[in-house]
Amino acid sequence: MPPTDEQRILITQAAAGMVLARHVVLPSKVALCARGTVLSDGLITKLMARGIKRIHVQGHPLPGPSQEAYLDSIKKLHERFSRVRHVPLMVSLQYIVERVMVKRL
Amino acid sequence: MSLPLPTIAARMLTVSCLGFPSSRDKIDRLVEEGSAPLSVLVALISADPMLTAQVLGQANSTSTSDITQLTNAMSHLGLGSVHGLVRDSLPIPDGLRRDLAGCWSLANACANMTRVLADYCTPTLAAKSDEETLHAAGLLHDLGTIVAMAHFSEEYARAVARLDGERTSINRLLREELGADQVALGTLLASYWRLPPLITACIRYHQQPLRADGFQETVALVHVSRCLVRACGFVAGADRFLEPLDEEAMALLKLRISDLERILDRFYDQMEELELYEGVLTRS
Repeated sequence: MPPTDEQRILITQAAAGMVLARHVVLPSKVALCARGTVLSDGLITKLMARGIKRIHVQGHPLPGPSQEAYLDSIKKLHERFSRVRHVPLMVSLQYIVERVMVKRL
Repeated sequence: MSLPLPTIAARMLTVSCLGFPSSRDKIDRLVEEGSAPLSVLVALISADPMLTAQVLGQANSTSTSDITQLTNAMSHLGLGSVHGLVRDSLPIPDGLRRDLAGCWSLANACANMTRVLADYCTPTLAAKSDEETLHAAGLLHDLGTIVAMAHFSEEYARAVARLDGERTSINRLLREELGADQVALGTLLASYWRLPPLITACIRYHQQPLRADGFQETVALVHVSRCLVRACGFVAGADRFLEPLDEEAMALLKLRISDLERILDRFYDQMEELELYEGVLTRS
């Protein structure tokens, strides 16, 4: 599992004291909060009101899947693709799914 | 030993609408109270493949034009009739809950992915379908597996038991054990329940989308969506081995393999938002 120094979380999982690891930006590219901002309850409520659904925070404040759970999901992924390994398109798809899974840990 | 086709067809006539008691009770209560807006009822019913199929089928059986949107179907039937369908549905037996939960999960994931994919492909699609129609197409494409699990459970169990040892598809094993595969069962149910031609085409041709004359694009969307969500782990019961993506369907949608990562990211974002929405509903 690749180590990262930030975690992508739902805004509903955010808590006061967490620190933003990336700028919070609206789809219109308007910046709402800068990287490094310490979240407060009021700020979280304001971000929710502006329609922000996810943020990146520093560290890993929320428990992620265990190493065992990750390895199990990769094992199941390989099993699902085990009968289409002769199809180049499916081999590429397997790499993509694995990359997306890792990105979302 | 497989069953003769007339026997299968006769048993299909008595297929009933099954559902999870918790969601049926919630819909029943909301309709009874009469305060929930139609959009909330549509959102709840559209997560249930069997109930959605029944509502669409009933509406189409009394309509002169095809109805593929749940909102239109419910408006056409009236809430009283919809309430009757909800109350007539049977609870899923305990022994089937785990496997059918997988079917419900696959159906909903495919419905969401079909909308995401259609949105991504919008600039290149010749025919534009509305979101509700796309949702229904993805949600109902695999009704046949639900029927196989719930109404031909012994034959389905025998087919699944052979799946790990034999490098062949569940379709072929079901044809050998039952006499019809899940595509045939789904198509038969679509005919009995009077589902509209677009939805029937998605059920019948989701594994061979280029054969769906007149509906190729929508069926190709469902085919690619099904493959992607199964690749991500949304599988029904023991049928977990992937079938190859149809490269001609990818070409029809002008999709390249490099597009798929962005599509999967959008899909997971939407699934997260749905969970967020569910959480808000639960708390309120």
